[in-house]
Amino acid sequence: MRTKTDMLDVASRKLSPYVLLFGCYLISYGHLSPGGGFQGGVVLASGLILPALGCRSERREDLLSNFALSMGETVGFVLLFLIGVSGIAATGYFLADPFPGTSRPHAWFIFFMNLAIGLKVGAGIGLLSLLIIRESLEPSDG
Amino acid sequence: MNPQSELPVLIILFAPLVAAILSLIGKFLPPRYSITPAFLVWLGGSLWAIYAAAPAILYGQSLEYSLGGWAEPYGISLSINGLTWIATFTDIVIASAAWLASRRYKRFGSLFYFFFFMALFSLQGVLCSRDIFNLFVWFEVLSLSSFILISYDRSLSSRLAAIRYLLISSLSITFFLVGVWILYRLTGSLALADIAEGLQSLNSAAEPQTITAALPVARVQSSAGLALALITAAILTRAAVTPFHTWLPDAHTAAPYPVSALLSGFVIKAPMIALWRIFELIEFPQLMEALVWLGGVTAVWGVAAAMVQNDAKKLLGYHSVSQMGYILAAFGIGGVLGRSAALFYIIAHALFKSLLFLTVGHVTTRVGTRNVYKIRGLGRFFPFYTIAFLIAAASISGLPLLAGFTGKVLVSEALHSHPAYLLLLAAGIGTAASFVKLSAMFFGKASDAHLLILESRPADDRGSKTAAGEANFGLLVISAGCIAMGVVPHLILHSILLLLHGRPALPAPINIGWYNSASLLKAGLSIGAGFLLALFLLSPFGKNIAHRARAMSVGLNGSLRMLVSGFVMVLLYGLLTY
Amino acid sequence: MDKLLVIVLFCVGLFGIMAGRSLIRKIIGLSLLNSSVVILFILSGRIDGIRAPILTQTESGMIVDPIPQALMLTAIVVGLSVTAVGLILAVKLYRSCGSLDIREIEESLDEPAE
Repeated sequence: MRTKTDMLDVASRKLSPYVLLFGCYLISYGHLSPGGGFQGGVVLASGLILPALGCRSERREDLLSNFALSMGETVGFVLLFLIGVSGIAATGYFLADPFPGTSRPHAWFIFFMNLAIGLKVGAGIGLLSLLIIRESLEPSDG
Repeated sequence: MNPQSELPVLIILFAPLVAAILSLIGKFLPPRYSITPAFLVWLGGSLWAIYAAAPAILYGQSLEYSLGGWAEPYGISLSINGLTWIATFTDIVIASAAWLASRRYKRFGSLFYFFFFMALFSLQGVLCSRDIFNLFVWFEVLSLSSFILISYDRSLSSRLAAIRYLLISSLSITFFLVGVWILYRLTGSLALADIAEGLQSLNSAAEPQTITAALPVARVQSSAGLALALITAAILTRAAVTPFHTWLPDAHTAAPYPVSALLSGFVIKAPMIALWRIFELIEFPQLMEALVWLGGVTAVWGVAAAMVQNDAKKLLGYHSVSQMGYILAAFGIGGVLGRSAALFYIIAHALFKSLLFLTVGHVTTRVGTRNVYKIRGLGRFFPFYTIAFLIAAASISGLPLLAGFTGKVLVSEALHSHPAYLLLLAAGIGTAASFVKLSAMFFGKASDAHLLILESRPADDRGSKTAAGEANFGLLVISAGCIAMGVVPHLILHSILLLLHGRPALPAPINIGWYNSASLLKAGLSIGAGFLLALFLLSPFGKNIAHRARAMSVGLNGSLRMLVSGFVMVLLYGLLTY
Repeated sequence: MDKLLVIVLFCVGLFGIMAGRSLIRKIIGLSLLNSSVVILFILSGRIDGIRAPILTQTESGMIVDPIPQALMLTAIVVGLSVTAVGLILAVKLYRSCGSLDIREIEESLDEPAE
């Protein structure tokens, strides 16, 4: 594999936090504007894998360990399930609003749902991509 | 929320989902805290749900549940009717046996069980869904979990099989989506009942009152036919019907054998149930007629390919294709008799095919090879498995007093005046032949190399004594089911009719001479002819022909071409005939 | 014109899956096929109105049909998962065979079996 230039290395390092921030923005404003859990999660994941792709391999350090990502994915899945079940407990329907009758309908509930989805998707896709990247980089590193 | 009618639907879907979540959390726990509890949660929940649903089903009602509380035309609704109930019951039996066998096969991590239960979850969704786009999502979740389960052995062949399956099924599901798009444009709805109503009004009314009001009626009709044909073809790809079957033999061969038992036993039948639910509401007689012929062709093609195989599991995989042909033909004939024959055969095939995969899978894993021509004399080492295998093999070949025989009698009763029935008869002979060939594994004298393997290993090196006992219990239950369907077929048929139609609307009982001289003679002749054919197949000349035929097998690109040309044919047929 | 774009994209995807021998090319073809269907749905949802289908307290009037968008969001997610699994399988196959050519992989499988 060709060595990565300094420019690529620096740019990916500096860009990564902004991408992560934008992902958080998309997730937390998903109920008001285009965006939401899945889209934000994908952006989060791309923030995670940007350093892995752009940085030089000897200087690469992972933001999060595989274990943490795997944990995040599991927690996101369970959280989403619990939110769905709380709808059943409150009104009898899966994924229904558990706090009906508040002044701004569904918004809070959708916000939390987006958070769970974002966590799940971000961690899941990030983990997947990191695994593939590592798998394909290893032989050329050695 | 009305707990009487909605809770069973909710539980029947949540039981596998909760089991999957328990398995997923089990990644971070010692395995004994997650694997068995997950299974028990799934089993208990599903059994309770079908128990609670039974009274309403017996009175001909279906239990419905609308997601999020939005009713049918706008929301997604899931329901249990008699069809779902029977299919779910079969699913529970097969999946339990497969789970028990998987505990014996290997010490799988809890992640394996996550995908196992996700497959069961999506299977349940396919059985319950009444919304056509929702069906797409369930199908995709099902195939995603299947890809991973198939490639779980991490061998080259299993990964290749998984990626073949992935390409073929994703290609076909794209056509499904195009069909959904056309139906949505025509009727403005995605709920099956609503689509059926919309299509009916499009056909009858002079001025259709939908988005497409500007289009001439003929064009509307031909595009409806096109959409239904596309959806049917995509579903038939999942059900492994010729020419869309090419993924199945490889995938079911390469998967770990408990997974093969689940896939062949039930996963390929779920699309048939979905097809049933669609065409219960929408009328398309020309397509049904085509399905009968397609079923006949599938039966013969599958058997012809199965007879020349040397890999025991691949032989079974091709037989799954061929048996789907019987089910499809009976389904296509329609009517009370045809549909109940299809359902009867679905149950029978689920039982004996999973039994075959479990027994053959276990013994070939122990011997270390799957070559039918090389393995001999296993009967002495696995007496229990030999008996179970023989019950299943005799069932599939159509020996009297077993499930396959009665199933075939019922199918022939439904199809007797249709010319495609001759194809099914021919397939019956081939089935008997290839199972005589497969049974040879258990008789004769074991070769020295295999003797060495079998004697050197301890009796149960892969798991404890209890795991073996539990796996055997699963086999026992399935064998008992096979025998029961052969001995008291009228009772089974009566309960099928009762569950499908409910007590108030029960159709006139179907009187069939199960064991009359004609059916016995037919079975005797086809088994006799099959035996002769098997002798030929096992002769050096037959082996030579089989070897040449195997060399003709198509690769991935060939099977993709076959798939797409199949789609084009079905598409033109739908366009021209609706 | 829109329809033509979708058809061309669909055919290119189909060609990519069927004609190529490289697994990666096949997976890219699959994504193209998926995108063509997504575009088909989105285009059909556009006709009814001009505003995005977000519920506000003041405005009302014609809005874009939200169902195709919701459906395609789901289809995109599903397509992404399928692509991910496909790529992982392709990487694994490449690691064990040293090739992405489907025919070479199939041949390398045939030899040890005989």
